[in-house]
Amino acid sequence: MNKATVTIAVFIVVAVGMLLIWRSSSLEVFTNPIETEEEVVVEEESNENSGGFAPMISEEELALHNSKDDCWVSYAGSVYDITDWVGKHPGGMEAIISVCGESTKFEEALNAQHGEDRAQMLPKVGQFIGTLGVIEGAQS
Amino acid sequence: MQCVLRVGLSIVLFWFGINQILDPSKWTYFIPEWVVNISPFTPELIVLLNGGVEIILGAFILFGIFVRISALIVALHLFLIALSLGNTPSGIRDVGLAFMALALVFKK
Repeated sequence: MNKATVTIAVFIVVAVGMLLIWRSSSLEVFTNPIETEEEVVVEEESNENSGGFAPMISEEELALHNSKDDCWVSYAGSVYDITDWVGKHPGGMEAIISVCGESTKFEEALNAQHGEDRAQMLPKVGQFIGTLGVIEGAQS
Repeated sequence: MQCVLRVGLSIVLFWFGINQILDPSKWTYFIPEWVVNISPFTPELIVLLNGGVEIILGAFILFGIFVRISALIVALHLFLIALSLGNTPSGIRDVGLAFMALALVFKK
């Protein structure tokens, strides 16, 4: 290992380190994770159990929210508004837009692409809207 | 030919690393729950650090610095991600990338 190689390695590490320090200072990344977790839990509870009532969303109403500006999805009977997160999907916006307004198709796509474990993140990336109500004859 | 492998792997590491640093909130979704639970850091900070490490490893592999050890870390990292993702298209992709990295570990 010659001196030049070590110098380049140190330069790379320092440069990336400075980039991280600069980036972390412009983001709120040092929030206490325990508080954040509690906030999420409280938010989920307030969303899902507000007054012990979860609005019933029909398949037809869900299907109306099918664009990047208004995207609802349903997983395991719970409907979420993920509009704010559509543009943040690392796999691209299009992959999400194609399943906006969907229940079964969304579940299949999420499970196939990321596995069932990722479904537990839905309450964190989206806003709980209500429970999917299956209307007789609406689903085949 | 080893150069082609190094450039290819570096491009992947740079793309993911830079994107994680530019907008960490996009990527917190992909951090497994057990990582968040055992880490003292916020999910955003985990993503930032992960992105930084990926850029450093990508640069090392591209410029031929500590290639074996860097590639070994990348391979282990990718195998862990693949394990977390399971039998999904993303998981299989990462297995392929992990074997690319292993090829650099065992290069002559």
